[in-house]
Formats: sequence, C-alpha cells, structure tokens
Amino acid sequence: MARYLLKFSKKGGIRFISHLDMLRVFQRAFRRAGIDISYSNGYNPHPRIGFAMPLSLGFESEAEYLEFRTDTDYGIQQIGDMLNEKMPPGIEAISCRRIDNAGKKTAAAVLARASYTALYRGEDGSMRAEVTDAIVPFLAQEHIVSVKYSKKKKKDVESDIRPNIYSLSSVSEKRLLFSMMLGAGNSGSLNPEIMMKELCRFCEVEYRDYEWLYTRTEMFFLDGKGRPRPLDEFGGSLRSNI
Amino acid sequence: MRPAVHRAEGKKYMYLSDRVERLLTKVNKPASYMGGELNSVRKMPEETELYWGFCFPDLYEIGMSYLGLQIIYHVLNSCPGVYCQRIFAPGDDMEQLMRQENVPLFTVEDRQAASELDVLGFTLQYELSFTNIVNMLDLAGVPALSTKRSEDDPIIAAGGNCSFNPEPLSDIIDFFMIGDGEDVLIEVSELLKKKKKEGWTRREFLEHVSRIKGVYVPSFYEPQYGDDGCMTGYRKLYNSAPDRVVKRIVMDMDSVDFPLKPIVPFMETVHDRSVIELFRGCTRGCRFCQAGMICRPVRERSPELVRRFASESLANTGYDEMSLLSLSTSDYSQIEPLVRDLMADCKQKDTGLSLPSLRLDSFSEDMLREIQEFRKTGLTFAPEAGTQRLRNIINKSITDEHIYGAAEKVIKMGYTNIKLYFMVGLPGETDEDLDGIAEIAKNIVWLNKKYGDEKKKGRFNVTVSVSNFVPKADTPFQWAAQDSPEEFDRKHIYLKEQLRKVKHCSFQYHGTDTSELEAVLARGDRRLGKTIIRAWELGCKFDGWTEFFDFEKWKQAFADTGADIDFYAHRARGESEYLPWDIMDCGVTKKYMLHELHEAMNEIQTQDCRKGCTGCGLKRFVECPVYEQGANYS
Repeated sequence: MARYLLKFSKKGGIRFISHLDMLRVFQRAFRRAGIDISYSNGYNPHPRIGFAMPLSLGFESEAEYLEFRTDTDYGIQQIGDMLNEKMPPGIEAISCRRIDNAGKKTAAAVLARASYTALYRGEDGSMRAEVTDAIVPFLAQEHIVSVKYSKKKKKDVESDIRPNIYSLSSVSEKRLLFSMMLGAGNSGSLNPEIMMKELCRFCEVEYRDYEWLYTRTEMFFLDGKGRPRPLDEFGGSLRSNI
Repeated sequence: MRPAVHRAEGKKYMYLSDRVERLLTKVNKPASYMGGELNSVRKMPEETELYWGFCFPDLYEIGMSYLGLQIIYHVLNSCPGVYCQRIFAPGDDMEQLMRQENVPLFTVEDRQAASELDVLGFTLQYELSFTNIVNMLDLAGVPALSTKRSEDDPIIAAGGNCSFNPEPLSDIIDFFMIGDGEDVLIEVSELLKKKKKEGWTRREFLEHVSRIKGVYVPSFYEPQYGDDGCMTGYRKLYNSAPDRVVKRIVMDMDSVDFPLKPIVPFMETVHDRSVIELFRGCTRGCRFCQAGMICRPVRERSPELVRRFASESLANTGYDEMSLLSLSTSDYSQIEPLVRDLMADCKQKDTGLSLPSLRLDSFSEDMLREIQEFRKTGLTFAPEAGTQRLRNIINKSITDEHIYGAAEKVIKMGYTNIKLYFMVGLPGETDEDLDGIAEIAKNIVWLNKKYGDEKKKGRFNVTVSVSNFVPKADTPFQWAAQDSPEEFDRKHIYLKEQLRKVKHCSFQYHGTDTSELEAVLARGDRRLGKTIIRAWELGCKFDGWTEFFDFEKWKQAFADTGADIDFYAHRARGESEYLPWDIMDCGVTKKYMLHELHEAMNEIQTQDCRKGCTGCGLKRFVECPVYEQGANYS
C-alpha cells in the first residue's frame, strides 16, 4: 500500500466544477491512466481518495490537496505524467509526495487553517477606502454574528464567525485585494465569502457576489507548538516536484 | 412576459465567452454551460466550412445521457470541414439571466451565438419538449415560424423518434430526417456546404434536400382537410418532392461509426456510464410500442465488436460502470456468452456492468448478483397488463409463469424489492384487467410469505407503477381513442383501492394531464403548430417537468387557437381516415398495422418475427437479418 498527497492548482473556467465533480474527474483520470486506487474493506467498498477540503464553486485555488492510496507502488513520476496528460485544462499539479509515514490521521483530519485572497472585479472601485478602513473596527468586535439559511433545519441559523478569523488585511494600494487566514477543517471552518459579506455589511457597502473572485492560497495544519504549517509539510519527507 | 433577446448585430463569430462567464457565478449547475469536457471537440474557423448546432430541447444533464447525441456529434465532427457544437435548453435560472443581460442562446463548445451557425438540428425525443424548441429559437433570436425566417437565419432541421409524425412542428422546422441518422446527416452536410459555397437560397437548398432519401420538407406539402375537420391528404406544392418519405436504415452495425471517445461530462448526469449500443430494432411486435415498429429491422452488433468497443470506451473515458443499450437486451442472440465475457472483462477492471431490460430466465443467480443494475434495483418487470387476455391484445408475450417464476427466483435470492410496470387505458381493457394487476401484486406478496428469508420478509415491498396508455403514430393502436381524464382518474382510484388492502405493496401512477397532452401532440396535425407557439407565448416550457407543467395554460392555448383536445386524443380514428403521418413510410405498412389492430380486437397474438416473418412490409426495402438464437430464447 502506498499513500500520496498531491498538491494542485485550479484556475480559470474549471473553477465552476463542483467538489464532487472534481473527485470524479480525478477518479476517471486515474482509471484512464491505469492507476488503481485502493478500496476500503467492508460491505460497500469505497475508493480511498479524498480532498483535504472542499472548494466552493467559483473559487480558484493555488493549493488544493488530494490524498489517495494505491495497492501497487507507483512512481511519483508516473502519477505526475498521468496528471499532466489526463487532466482538463486549468488543473495543474504542483507537487506529489509519498506520505506513508504521516500516521493515522488524514490530511483532511489535521487541517486547521486555510488562507485566501478576495479580489474585487466589479466596476465600482470607489469603496476601496471604506472597506479597507473598516477592517480594524470590524475585527475589534467581540462577536460577529452571521445569519445563514440552513437547508437542513429549514430556517435561518446564527453563528459567530469571529473566532474563525485569524487575520485579515488589505494587500494592495491600488486594487481591492484582501488576504486572510481563516479556520478550516473539523475544529471550525469559515468560508471567506461569508466573511467578506459581513465586512461589507459592517461598512454598508453593497456586496454583489459575481463581482468578487476568491482564491485559496494555502492550507495549514498545526505543528506541535500550535503554529500553522502548510499541508505541503504534512507527513513524510519523500518530496518530488512535478 | 419574457424579455426578448436581441440578435447580435454585425454577425459572425461573436464569441460570448466573457458575458457567459459572468452569468455562471449566479446559476445552479454552471458546469452545464461550461464546456471543455473530456473528448469534446473544438475546431478552428480555418478548418470549418459548415457550422452545425446539435440542439437538445431539454437540460444538459438529460441530453448528455442520450447516446444519440454522442453518435451524431461523433459522425458530424468526423466529417472534414464540419464543426458540430452542442446547444441545450438553459435551466430556468440561466434563462432569466440570459434575457436580463441580453445573452443569446449559445453553443457549449465555443459559446458562439446559435443564430450565427449554418444549421440547427433538434432531436425530437418526446412530445413534451416541443415548447422548448420554440423557447430556444426565441432565445437564439431566430423566428420560430419558418416562413418568417430570412436568408441569414440558420436552417432549422429535426430528427429523432417524434419526427415520424412531425406535423405539429411543420410550421417551425425547415426539414425533418426520419430513420437512422448516420448516413443522411453526412449527405445533408455535403449539400449544406454546397449551399454556402454556391450561395443557394433557402428555397433552392430545400428543393435539393427534399430529394435525399429520408428527408421531409413540410413546406412542400399542404395538408387538406374534409368538412369534418379530418385530414384527407396532402397537396404537393413542389412537384419533384417525393410522394412519400421513406425512413433511412443503416443495415450493418459492424461497419457503422460508433463513438468510442464519448464526451465525459464534469457534472453528474442521469446515466453516468459508458454505453455501447447492442442492437437496433425489436422483433416482439408489442402493439402499443412505437419504437418496436419504427426501428425495425433488428440489426445486431457482433459480440466481438461489442466487447472491443466496451473496453476501448472504458479506457477512453475512465468510467467505472458500463451498460448495453437496446430495446430489449435479453433478445440479443448471444446474450449469455456476451454477458459472461463482459462480466469477466469488467471484473478485471473493477467496473460495474449494467444491463437494463433483462429477462431473468437465462441467467444464473451468481451472474445476476454481479449485474449492477440488478444489484441496485432488484427485479423490475413490465407485464404491462394484468391479465393474459389483455396481454394477448397488446401482444406482450410475457406469461404469468414468467412473472411468478422470476419473482420466486429473486425472492429466494433474498431480494426485498420488486417493481412492476403496467399501463392503464389500453384498448379493450375492462375492470377485470385492473383486478388482474392487483392479483399479480397479491400473488407476489404471497410468494414472499412462502419463500422469503425469515429475517427480511418484513421489509419486502412490491411496487406497482402504472402509466397511462398514449396511442402513438405508426403503431397498430394509432387508431385508438385515449381514455378520458375522468376514466383514467377512476381507474387510478379503483386500483389504489384494490391495492390498499395489500400489505407490502406500494402504488404509483402518472398524472393524467401530461398523458393527455402527449396523446394530442403524438397524433397531431399541422394545425397544432399554432397551439404550440401559443402555449409557449403563455409561458409553457419544460412540459415534461412537473414543476413547470401548467395544463391550464395549455388549455388556454387550445382554446385560443381553436384546437380541440378531444378531436386529437379521445377520438377513435376511422380505419379509412387519412392520418397526418401517412406521408411517412416507417417501413411497416398501414395495411399490416390495421391487420394487427384487428388481431388485437380478436385477442390473437402475433408471433415474434424472429420465429418467422409476419409480413410487416419492411421487406419492401431490406432483407431482415436472421440471427441464431440462444437456447433460452422464449
């Protein structure tokens, strides 16, 4: 059994492919390339392949992670070749590593933070100062209550998003470009779009979803001292850049 | 009222890419409009002489599960100089945005405006998609009526099963193709290239295309009506147009082109799997079944080729499930050895095998357990009618022994779900036949009591699913009157009452309104063109979807255009009456269908024509292939 962690980017038109569809894209690519993914034992065996974290529809990413296992020991190069040949345009492999020594937990299980950028692409850039100036008082709030309609409960549900905001800053003098570090994974997760909506609401700027482009820039786990480390460093040392 | 979409000025190659992309952030299922799927085709303008738009008048996820789309896409794009792109009916949310932002109907591949293409070809799979055709043309900015279109507009073509009675769409479509599409599409494409090169007018092109076998140009024929409103025939308006249009038949399934690199959608579609066509046609001769009549003769693909195609298709797509397609899988002459071989191949590749419409007798339990469809759904059976008498009338050769034999087998195997399909409103049906349906359900429940696994018995369920009989053109029942909605309702309630007392039995039935509309359109004439357009004006689209279907609007459309539902749906047609589709020769003669109708009235079955020719008339055109049947064939 061999265990791998693949890092790839997702950019351009392909950002409209949903999480589940992405999984199918990879599964089919593996099959076409003749790479057999391991199956779990049990009555309904499922393939041992999964993303560290779903990416919202329409988001781009510079750091997506796919963890999978194979029965046969394939060379990392073979997997890299497969990806470059069989993947749709917009998905690019960045690195693939063996993580056989990563322990029992999956990359998804250790995930704790994710960083994003939010870029305003609309025509009205005049509210740049307003939004930027609002960041400090916005973060100074003890609670930031976001209301979201829950399909499950069939009613609006309130939640405090403040604990999941670790940083937020404006990173460009000219453009409306924000960078942020947010909670991710099982211990508490926040979608950057929800945060930007709250920020815009806070400074009374209209938020139109199609005007914003979000990009995930990295995912992190916490090391022994509680410091965020990129998932790139998760488990194992066998590194190969594709 | 729908905001109108304005045609692109300046024409030619107005790529909409950026404008479409902006909309994608706001819609459900953006992958439907995205393109770029594996094995989809792009061609450069330099290599393109002729632009086809393959139009599927329903959602992407429906269209992409249709094998015909993959076949036609492959055939056309294999022609040098021809570029075929796909166009689907946008979902309601997307349509609203397109109208708001003035984005016209576009192709999936290049996001090119549909109105810029040379020809748009609609596939007619079901009558309830007709208003979507009007809607799509409107979204494209192309006039729906052929008489209103200018020389700059694309030619509008159509094919598929519903074009065997194309009359309700004859005001809209420039020409129809009937029968197998592979050859006729290539011939038509050559002619379209010539039209473009030599600058023919639409009229000149239509004159030429009407001489291609299998092509019907409705504007060359004027329907004639008698005082009673019934049709009496057509008056030809162009002398060289054929008196009757004969359907196209591709005889050799081993040499005809088949897509081994089908497009693989990103999103989940209705059927997410590799599909290999096993054979065309059916020899059983069920008297209600249109496909069984118009798709004759049976033409099998050789087992060696099916096996090779399956393996190549899986390698090219990466699917983990494959399926065989035909009208009746079990009737394939070498089904047993083929399934054995495929099963072995699939097992090696961790691939599931799905075999829809399979009869159980010929398979061992071990094999059944391996078949995906069966694993998922258990047994589904379509006796269609509740008594042997009515099954004789409709010529369905299933017997009680078949049903109970199969049910006993799967119950003993430990399955707890059995699904039975029936029709109500069949010609000659009485309440005794409805009792028969309940009887079958009761007997199967009893079989479970007797043979069922002690632990699972309690979970057992037999589902009785009932659809409403819709008389179709080109079948022996084409003369029959459809039951009135009140009668359908009564029968549904009657059955519900009968089955209510049966434990472990659930009952499903179809709405009567859609069945009634289907019956009108399936046997309609050209006068209904106005009704369809009126219905669209009133807001009708996606009539096959319960959330969109609005029968009140349709009734309004019938009233506004002076069309009578009863005249089309609930009137028995006279045996000597001229039928709107008599201008089409589907291969089976009217004389034979009438003979079959009489046999039905006398409750006499006609044999499966694999056992000997029954004289349907197809031999006027082709020699029907004979296949050595396996031992279990019954």
